[in-house]
Amino acid sequence: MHNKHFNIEAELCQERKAHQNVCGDACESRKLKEEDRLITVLSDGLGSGVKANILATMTTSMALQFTAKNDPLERTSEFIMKTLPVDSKRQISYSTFSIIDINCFGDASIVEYDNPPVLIYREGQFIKLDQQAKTISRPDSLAAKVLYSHIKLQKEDRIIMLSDGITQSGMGKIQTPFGWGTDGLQLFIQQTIKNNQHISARQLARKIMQRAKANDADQFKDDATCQVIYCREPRKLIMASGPPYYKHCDSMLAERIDSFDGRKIICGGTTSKIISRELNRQISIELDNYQPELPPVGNMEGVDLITEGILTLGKVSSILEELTSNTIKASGPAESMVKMLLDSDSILILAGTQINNAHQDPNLPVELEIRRNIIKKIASILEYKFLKNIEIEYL
Amino acid sequence: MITSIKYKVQICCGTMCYIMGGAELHLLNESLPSSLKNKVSVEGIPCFGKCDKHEKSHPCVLINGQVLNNASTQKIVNHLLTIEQNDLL
Repeated sequence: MHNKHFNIEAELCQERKAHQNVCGDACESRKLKEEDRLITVLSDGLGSGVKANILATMTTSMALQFTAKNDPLERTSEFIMKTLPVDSKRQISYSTFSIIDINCFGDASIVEYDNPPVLIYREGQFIKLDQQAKTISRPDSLAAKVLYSHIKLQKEDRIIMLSDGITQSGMGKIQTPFGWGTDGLQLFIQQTIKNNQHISARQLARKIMQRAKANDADQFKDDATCQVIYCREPRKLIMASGPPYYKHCDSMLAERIDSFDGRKIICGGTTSKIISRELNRQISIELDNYQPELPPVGNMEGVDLITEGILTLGKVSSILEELTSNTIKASGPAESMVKMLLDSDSILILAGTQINNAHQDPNLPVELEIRRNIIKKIASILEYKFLKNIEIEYL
Repeated sequence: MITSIKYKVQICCGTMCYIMGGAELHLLNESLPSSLKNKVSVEGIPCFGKCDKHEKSHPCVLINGQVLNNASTQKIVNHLLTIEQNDLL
């Protein structure tokens, strides 16, 4: 996701209540590429477990669909409020929600209902939003108060959305009788950003989550969700895979990689060979880290990662597909590539279109997919699941 | 330290060689006889283009720069033993 002024990094960290199988919060982001827009919805279902999860998921998907179709936010929230069932005893609705809609000019519209307030961090301070409250009356329960606000985002702004599992963590302890609270959280965020000015949304979300978990002595008493949106200078990455179709493009490929401002991945034996030849730099391969699944990584001066081609790409695509949290535990060529991809905002893929004759033998294992297909697949997962800004160039 | 490395074994890490059996060659060090252990260095090398030809020659290995096709651990060890013997003569 990007616009003229900055890139938007949106990352989620979620944990469920101890001893529950599913998380009762839901948070979803959608990127509308044509409009250059990002919509994020966070919802907390009443209670925990499967029931809460269904309510929260229902709310998020309703809110996402309505907002994406450009319905006015007032109408969306009213509609959700009227659709959701109301708990008969407590007279409160079954789920809460916050919606953020950021358009291509960096204007953000925020709707909040019953969640902890959305925090907006700018230059060491938290901005107090100019909120408009609107009451929605419902036929058979208490009226609900929904808050609307607008803000023009600037570069280096951060938006933090939370469910109450975070703000209420540590409740009942002597130091924090009423939980961590928004104040404690704000202090923690200020401190964290002060220590590391360019901390990524991913890291910040994880830090907040770790601290909240520690507050609850490692056993969350409620589902906790933390979504961080960071308007940042894009982190750039280039990935070259496959030899160019025409041989005279080889030097151009090497030149582009060498002069790229950002991190660099070369994926493919022949490709790395070409670049090594053109730049006249040696590739060395260490064999001390034996993993039978994938060929080892190589090292070359000026390049961050060199891996084998199609097998590694296949593994990368399957890891990205299955990934639900933002932590990758294992280490290996594919895992380190996934980490680098996820730690970038704008990714340029240079896909060579020359076909490797050696891979055309029908007796070979099916893992040998066609490079172009697998690159397209990886690109679309990164674009829609992880909201990255992807460009593919075929050479 | 005096290095006694006499033989450099380079194992192709290209896709073809890797899936056709090159993967297990990376453990070559473990199956070297004790007489060779300190004389052999094992390292990886990016694909050196043997797989472009139509003959089936993978996995490929370079021993002191010489190509050994259809390599297996046993074949490499035998080859090393032969050149070791020739060198001694």
